[in-house]
Amino acid sequence: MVNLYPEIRYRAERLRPQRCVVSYATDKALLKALTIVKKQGLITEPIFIGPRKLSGMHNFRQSNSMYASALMAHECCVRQEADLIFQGHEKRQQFIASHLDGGFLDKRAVYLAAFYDRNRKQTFFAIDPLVATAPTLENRIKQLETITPFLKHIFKRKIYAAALAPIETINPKLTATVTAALLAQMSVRHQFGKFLQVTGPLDIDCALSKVAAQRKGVESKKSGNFDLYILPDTNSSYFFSTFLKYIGKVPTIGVLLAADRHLLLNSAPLTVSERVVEITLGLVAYNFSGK
Amino acid sequence: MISSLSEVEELAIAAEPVTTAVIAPEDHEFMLAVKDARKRCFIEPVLIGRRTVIEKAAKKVNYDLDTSRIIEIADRQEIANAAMDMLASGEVELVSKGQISTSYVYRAIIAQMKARQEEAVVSVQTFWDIKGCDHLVLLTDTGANISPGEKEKKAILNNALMVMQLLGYTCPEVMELISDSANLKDKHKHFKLVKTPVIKDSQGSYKQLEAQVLKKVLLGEDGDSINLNNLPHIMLMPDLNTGNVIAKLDFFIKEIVRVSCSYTSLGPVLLPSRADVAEGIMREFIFGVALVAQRRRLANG
Repeated sequence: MVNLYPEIRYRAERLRPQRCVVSYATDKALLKALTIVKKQGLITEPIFIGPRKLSGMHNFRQSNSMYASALMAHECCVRQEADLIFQGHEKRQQFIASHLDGGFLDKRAVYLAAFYDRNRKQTFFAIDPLVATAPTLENRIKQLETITPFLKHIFKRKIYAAALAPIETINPKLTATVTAALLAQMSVRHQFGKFLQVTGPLDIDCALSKVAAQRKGVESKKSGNFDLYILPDTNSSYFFSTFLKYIGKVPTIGVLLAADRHLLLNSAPLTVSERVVEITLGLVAYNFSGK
Repeated sequence: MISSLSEVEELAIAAEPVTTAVIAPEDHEFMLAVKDARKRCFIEPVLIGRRTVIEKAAKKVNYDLDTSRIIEIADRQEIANAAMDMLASGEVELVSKGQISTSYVYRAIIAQMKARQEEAVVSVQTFWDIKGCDHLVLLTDTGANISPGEKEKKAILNNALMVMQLLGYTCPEVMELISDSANLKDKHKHFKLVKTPVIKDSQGSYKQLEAQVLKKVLLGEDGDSINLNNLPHIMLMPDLNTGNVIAKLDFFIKEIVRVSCSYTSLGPVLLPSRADVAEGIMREFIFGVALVAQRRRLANG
């Protein structure tokens, strides 16, 4: 495995192997990644569900449609043949929607995007490019309650988060500024525990650059060095991730965190190494939730 | 077609100095950029604001104000109005914001647009010069409209087309950014997106890109590797939250160089961020001067 996301790799040490099922498996890169993860002892022989058997799929079950694959994968979990469902080649929305119909995601569900900053040689995270389209303050609180213990588990230290908004002053017309200010104040009062410190509202320039923050008169010791970015909504978060991944060439993976934690999404296109880390992150999350 | 900011600079270097109304230059970094821009014959500044504060900022960077025109006005809105009046009358060809809230400038622009009975939708155009991309990429609106509807987005697109035309993009490719989640929502409603209403129904000369996620545009037909040349010339942002976050990603992605302006029918209005340092502000002056040079060229046939 390449030396990306070291924090995630450390947390995967000594994990017990998990049983998994891959829904609509047609992707050779995923197969390669799973082979590596299996060799690392993190999973047992996966069950593959898909339209045709590929070399290396030892436990294969045929299904010609994406929807039927999702249902079969769901059944594997119900029958306790598998602990986790991996997204194969189906579209992410379809994959999630299939499982939403099955009542798999709860209100605390949050998609945590993970990036690797090559300059700082450090992993950082962002929420939420997928689940809550226009998050309310209540959504955000539930999301932070879900991810804070997990990030504490990953970093083994206090987590520093930037709540982003278009400006760093509070404007009632800009909901993001109000939400960010409230989250920051809640963290001051330790409402997310003592391990999460939220600063906000912060314009992204102040969050990413100490110089910019100083120029704007915003006091933030963590500018340029936050662990978590709380984006205003799904659109901004989705495009933040997309632009970093495709234009910034920043390694980008993710994990869907929820109280019910059976889904591992596929943030394709990924290199095999990135896919290995994404699966590893999912396994770390699964094990952590089970504790 | 101007494909990079170095070509923009060449245009600016070749231009006669541009008389520029500078709104509230009260910070040393900003004043340093004004000083350098003047020294390099890009601009001839008219400084508008509180004289004592302007003088203090100038002193900090050893800028001799004796030869510069200063218009003393204390009220923030009146400062912005004065600058826009000068642009409307032709007394100046370029306006630049200094240390003043952008909302004052927006209000002054809107007042001018209304007086001219023009569509009063102000928008900010952010240009990216990306290493590995063979053209400039315009992101809009990145600063003014909180949650633009279809009507506002059409006006935003029109503003973008106006400025792209100046840079020689006669038929730019346009894409309205749609996230996966938006696609998901529409699928549930059984509404198939082919082209967004904004792209489909706007006037002007541009190439319509089918509504699709950015990932697919970048990966192209083969879907194997990212080709930055596939980036559309104009990307319409869904809202201010997204526009603001994306426009400033140059703070993280070092391969991007950014300039922004709010282009109006009267001319360009520069809106450097309070976070920008002299180098970035200077880049914006150069960009504004190049746009004025192109306006002059078009006006002279």
